[in-house]
Amino acid sequence: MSTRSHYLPRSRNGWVALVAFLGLMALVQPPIVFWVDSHLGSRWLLGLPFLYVYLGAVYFALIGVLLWALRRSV
Amino acid sequence: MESWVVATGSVFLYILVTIVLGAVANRRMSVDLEDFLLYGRKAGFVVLYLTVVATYHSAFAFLGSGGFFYRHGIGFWEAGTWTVLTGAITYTLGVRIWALGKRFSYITPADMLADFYESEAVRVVVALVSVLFTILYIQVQAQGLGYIISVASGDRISFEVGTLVLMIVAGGYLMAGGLRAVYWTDVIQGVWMYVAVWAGALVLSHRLFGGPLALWRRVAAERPDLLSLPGPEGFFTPGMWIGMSVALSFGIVLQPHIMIRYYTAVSGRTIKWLGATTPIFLMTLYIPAALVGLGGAIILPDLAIPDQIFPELLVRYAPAWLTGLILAGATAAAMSTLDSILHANMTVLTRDVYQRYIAPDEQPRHYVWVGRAIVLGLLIIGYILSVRTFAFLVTLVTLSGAGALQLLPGTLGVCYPTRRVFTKSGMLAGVGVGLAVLYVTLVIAPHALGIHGAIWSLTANFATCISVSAFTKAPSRDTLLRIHGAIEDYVYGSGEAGLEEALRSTLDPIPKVPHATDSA
Repeated sequence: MSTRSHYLPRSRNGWVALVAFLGLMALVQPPIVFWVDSHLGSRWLLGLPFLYVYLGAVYFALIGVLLWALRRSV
Repeated sequence: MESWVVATGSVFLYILVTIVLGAVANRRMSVDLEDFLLYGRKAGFVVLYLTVVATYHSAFAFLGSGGFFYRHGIGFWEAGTWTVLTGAITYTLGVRIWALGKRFSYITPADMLADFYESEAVRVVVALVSVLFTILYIQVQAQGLGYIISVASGDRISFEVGTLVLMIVAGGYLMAGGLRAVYWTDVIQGVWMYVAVWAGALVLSHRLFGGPLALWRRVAAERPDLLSLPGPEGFFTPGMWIGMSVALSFGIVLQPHIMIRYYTAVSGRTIKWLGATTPIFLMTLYIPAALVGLGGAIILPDLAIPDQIFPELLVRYAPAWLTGLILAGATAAAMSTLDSILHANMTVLTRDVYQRYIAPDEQPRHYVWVGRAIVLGLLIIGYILSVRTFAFLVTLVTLSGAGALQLLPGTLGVCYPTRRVFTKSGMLAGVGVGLAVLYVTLVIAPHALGIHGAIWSLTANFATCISVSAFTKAPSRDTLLRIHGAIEDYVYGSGEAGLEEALRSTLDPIPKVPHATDSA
């Protein structure tokens, strides 16, 4: 039996999905999300507060990564 | 017709639908433990999807999330992080739990952990943690139900009577139809709650502000403090943000009522679909909650109990039919979580305690009836807890959210093969230290240094588990080969075809455990 770690992907698609998901998740975690709020929080986009739209966009992008992984059978 | 009649009638119409579904499920049920406890491991995507989202979102999502936006502002939109994380955990960890459950006929979380760590102590500890940290949610959901029926009827039906009626209905269809009844009612409940919360928020925002965009502009003009971090009361600090992301994703997935759902899927592919798509439902439910909470902060700024903002707005500003629709949706949210927790606790107590230690060699019919008796007992306990106040409950409820999170290191040790193998001593020591640290950082010194207690406890748990595992006895080579080998083969080898082949060639997957699939 192989004792290779299951924490790291073994395929190119697996690495792409992992890096994309972690990268996007970092965008909605401190300190980045607090930086966005303090520097861009007063702006508005599509008639909504920028922070609200920013978080929502990243959440949908994260779901997109999961759907991409499903499509590629990661 | 008076508005309270319409609202109460809508709630009771919904209850009638669930009773009918429970009765139909009862007629379809065979006297088989896997059917009663695990839906025969045949749950397809649509049913599993709706039962998972309905179970995940409880009365809190309906009442509490509006209250959070009302009090702490836009920071609660952080909810998206834990809902997406929940999907990712299901996609990666959930599919492994499913594969091991299918391969070795696991029914409860304790089955899997005790089998890997070769320890009855692990079984008892996992069962205790599973029950102790979820049983109080019975009380929380029951109180939500009592409150909803009381609001719908304009206090003509008391909180106590409303709680009792709705608990009897939820327990009744669970006892009649087992997990099949829970799943079927969850399908209705999932759809109903989603439609209700969106309909309510949109109608209220149009009636009170002229639309959602106008609502946001009013909030910016009158309460700008609600639109920035860390919120008016400084709640959403970086430490709390990360802590809630972890506690409300990993912590909820590891609770038995969610984990057992992974065992019930018809295939691993179904679990992956579930992981990739459930965040869409889970996350977008918080969009209307933001409209309710933030809009409520403008319209009713001095509400004593923020969690009451949604029903208060409905009663004052919505037409009776809409109030009825939404309160029935709130009832659905609470009942779908209540019945799932009742089922999970029944499963754990029947399987891990009664079948294991009290009567191991009975027929499946016997265990089904014992399960029903346990549900009855849980209902009585839940009702007493919900209508009376006990000081110790406040402490336990505080701990509940992050309690099941302490099973994370042990679960990862089973599902993710690596060179560093966790041991039963490491796992048990980690849980013990984690719970102790959780008590300190949630009760004695809440969220020390602005960091959520879940992070403190999980860090201590992992550190203890890793260090103790380094010098204690690992599971036997046979067990490592059997369980980690099965994971290796499923994930990187022959996949589901190999799993089916292994099942056909294995007669008794778990030695010493009474087989769960013997039919009467």
